[in-house]
Amino acid sequence: MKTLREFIVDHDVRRRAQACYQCGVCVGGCPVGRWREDFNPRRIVEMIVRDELEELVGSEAIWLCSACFTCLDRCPQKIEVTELITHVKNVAARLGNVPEGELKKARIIVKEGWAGLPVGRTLKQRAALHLPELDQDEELADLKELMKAMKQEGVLHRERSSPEKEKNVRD
Amino acid sequence: MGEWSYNLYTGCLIRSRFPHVEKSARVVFDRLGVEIREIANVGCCPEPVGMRSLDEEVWLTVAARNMSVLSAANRPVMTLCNGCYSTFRESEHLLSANKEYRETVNRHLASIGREYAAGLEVDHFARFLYEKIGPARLKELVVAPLRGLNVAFHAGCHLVRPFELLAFDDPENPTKIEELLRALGAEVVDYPRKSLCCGFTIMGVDADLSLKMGFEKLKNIKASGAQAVVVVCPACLQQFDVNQRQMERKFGAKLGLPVFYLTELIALALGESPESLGLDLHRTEALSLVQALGLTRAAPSAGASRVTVGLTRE
Repeated sequence: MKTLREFIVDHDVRRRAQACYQCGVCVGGCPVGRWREDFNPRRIVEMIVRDELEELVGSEAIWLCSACFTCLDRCPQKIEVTELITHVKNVAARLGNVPEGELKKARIIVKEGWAGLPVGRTLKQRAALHLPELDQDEELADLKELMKAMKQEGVLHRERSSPEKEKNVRD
Repeated sequence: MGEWSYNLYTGCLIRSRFPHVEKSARVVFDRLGVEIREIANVGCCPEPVGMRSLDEEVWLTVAARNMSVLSAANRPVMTLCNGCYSTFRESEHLLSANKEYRETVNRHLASIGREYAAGLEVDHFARFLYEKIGPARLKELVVAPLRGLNVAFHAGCHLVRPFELLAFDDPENPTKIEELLRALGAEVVDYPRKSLCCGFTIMGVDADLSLKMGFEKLKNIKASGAQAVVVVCPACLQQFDVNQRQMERKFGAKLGLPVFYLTELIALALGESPESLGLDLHRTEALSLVQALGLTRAAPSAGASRVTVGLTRE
């Protein structure tokens, strides 16, 4: 498990944020920031530059990013704000700061290989519309094997964050 | 076999919740002479926001596995979903640009005897319809023009963003798909804050805010005089069609805006009947609107109603 600092270095996060001159265009265009003052992409980039990472990865608001990429499209410095926030969320998830709803959805993908499976009613509707039959027992065997192989590194399989691992990430 | 041949990648949402969307897409491809092949052994793309936010390495690896499976067919992939399109394009971009990512992903894939295959061609159906078919050709094929229908178009973020990567339409004011809608005979109305996100992706984080974002969009669309919304992404469809009643209750205002998938309107204009498209599966009054406007009146003309849906056994 990488430490927070290693993660930031690996992903070149700080250097990619450095070019920000805090114009706030990202905030102006943000579909979430319009409603929630606590979600502020400009401030998130500032916190990365100023090394206020622990506060950042502990914040609930980072999960509000809808990943629409408007901030990246509008940024005069072409800073990949959405990607930077994604990296921050990756670290936050490892620290156990992750909304239960997000975890639940991802676990279905890990378990089933799909984000959702068609229920009986949908299968009937498909038949009525003369759509091809779905093979519900589709192989996906090597996908499930792959998910198992990645188990050690990811946060997706872990039931709860353990304090020991959290410590490791924070160091 | 015609000029176009694609592997169809419907994605989880359409496969599990919106059979009518898949139906309309298959009808449209069939009518346009696009050969569609079925795929096997691929699951979720995987989902480009939540999954990527939780663990980008897993997201990237699963995407690379899908690309490895799909590359074997030696045929481009057609997605029906902005989310799948985003995952394919973003992951391909990251993997082709970054040696470390490739090495990491390949280390995982080696455990199942696979490796990342570069260069898989992936198209979004709406982009395909604009770039490869085009409004002029579409207009020639229309037998039941959508006269009297005023629609507002919502592109959804990941059809057009990030522009630097996708380079399709102006993300601040996407108008290319609107040209297709006009070719069908519909009127397209503009509305304020057109480029804003539908809010679907944060449903699992803050449901109230997600609904508020969707409601604001629909309110602006309604005020613009549109009778219906047109989308090209199942997540936006879920938000606007399925969740609309919840928004109405929550914010105490009636919206009553039917929501269509682009392919449904094309199929109708090409002469397909609303019944065979399953328009009644919408939560909003899509079918009623089509009937009220008499949009199918030209449909039974010679040959137009004889439909052979690709790959069904009729």
